[in-house]
Amino acid sequence: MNPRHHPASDWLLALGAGTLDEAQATVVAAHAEWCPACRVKVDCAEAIGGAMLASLPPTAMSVGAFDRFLQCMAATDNLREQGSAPSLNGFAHSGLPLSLAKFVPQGIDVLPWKHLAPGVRGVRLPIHSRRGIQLCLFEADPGAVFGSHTHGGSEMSLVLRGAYHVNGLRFGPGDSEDSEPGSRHMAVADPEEGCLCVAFIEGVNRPDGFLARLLQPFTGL
Amino acid sequence: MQAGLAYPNSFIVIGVMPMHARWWGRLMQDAGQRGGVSELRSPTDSIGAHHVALIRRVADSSDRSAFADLYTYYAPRLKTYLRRLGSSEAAAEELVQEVMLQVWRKAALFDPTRAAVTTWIFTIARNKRIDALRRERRPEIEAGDPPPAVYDAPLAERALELAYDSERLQDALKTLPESQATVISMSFLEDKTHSMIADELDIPLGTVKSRLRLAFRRLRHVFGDFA
Ligand SMILES: [Zn+2]
Repeated sequence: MNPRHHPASDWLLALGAGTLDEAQATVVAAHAEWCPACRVKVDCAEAIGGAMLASLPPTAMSVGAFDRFLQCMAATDNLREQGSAPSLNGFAHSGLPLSLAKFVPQGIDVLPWKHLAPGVRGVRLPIHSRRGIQLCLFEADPGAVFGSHTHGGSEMSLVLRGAYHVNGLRFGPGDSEDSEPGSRHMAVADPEEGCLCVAFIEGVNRPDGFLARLLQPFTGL
Repeated sequence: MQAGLAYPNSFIVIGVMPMHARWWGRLMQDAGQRGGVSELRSPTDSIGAHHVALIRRVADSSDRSAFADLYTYYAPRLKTYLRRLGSSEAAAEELVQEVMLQVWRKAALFDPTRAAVTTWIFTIARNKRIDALRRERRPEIEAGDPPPAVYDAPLAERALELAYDSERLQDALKTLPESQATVISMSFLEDKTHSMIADELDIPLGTVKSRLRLAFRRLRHVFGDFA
């Protein structure tokens, strides 16, 4: 089933433009892997980038640039692809979207999960961030309550397995929840399945963030 | 040769298209049956379709003159793109060479039914730049290589549409209201996050986002698939 909750289109545009931090890009791209409608929007965003590239005024390359290119090309020609690319369709063996799976090559079971709250565990993934935005996995047992807080920075979560409920809405596999700063939040893990989610969290040092607060014990803030 | 390559416009010989590639003949035939030939002859259309043909020649027969044409067109534009995003002169040229090397190596993987040539090259440049920024992280396998292209008649038509759409997008970009064009350009060409745009223009973040959404919606209409 296709996801029902999508990131706002400005996130998809930013993914195409390449301006997202790696944690943000991972979550948005993971949703797009799940969601044909959003994939089309990302394709469109990239097409806008392509159109902008073609519209740019040229800047002359330095003298001899093409000759240097040819030398480099000749030296590495054995690396040419012969047209047998690995197919990139859907998910890695782990069942995780590929954009996320690359950060957990051994699977999620071996990660150093930390207890965050009764029935809730989380782990921060090692990721490069220019702006201090973190990428985290969290898992909640059936019926576990995440809490009810006001958000600090922006956060987005994506359900990987199971579901959770917020304000009468159900977020299931592939659904993403884009939480603007200041929004209210009250999440309960599905009473039968629990849930596994990935999220990016901005402004972890702000104590009023929902996930930020949840994740404080292992972010050291 | 060198002088010619420094000036990107020298290659534009509209109407002289390589016809040897089997699929290209089919593409023309197909477009003809659908009444698409008149569109095909519009000058803007021929640039994108011409680039698809050039990539195909590079993929099929390692055609260096076809590649030189692509280099002449794209390298100076990529340089502008990377300079605007903040790369130094030297770093920009280095990245341009890496991008074009990727184009040479991966030409066989380019799928014209998924993207226009300029879009494909844009994504390579975008990713190379992001990789350069993240280089301190462990090297990783490049995800995102599309499956190899399969050329058959309906797909060839799709390829033509995409090439054409890209040029209509260029026109559509010029018709955006100033306020929308500014935020789109800052996003794509200045590597500004939405909050940075808000700070710089001294407008609320919500306004930046709504301008971007409006512009995006408008540009997506070019593709016709959208409500
Ligand atoms: Zn979606």
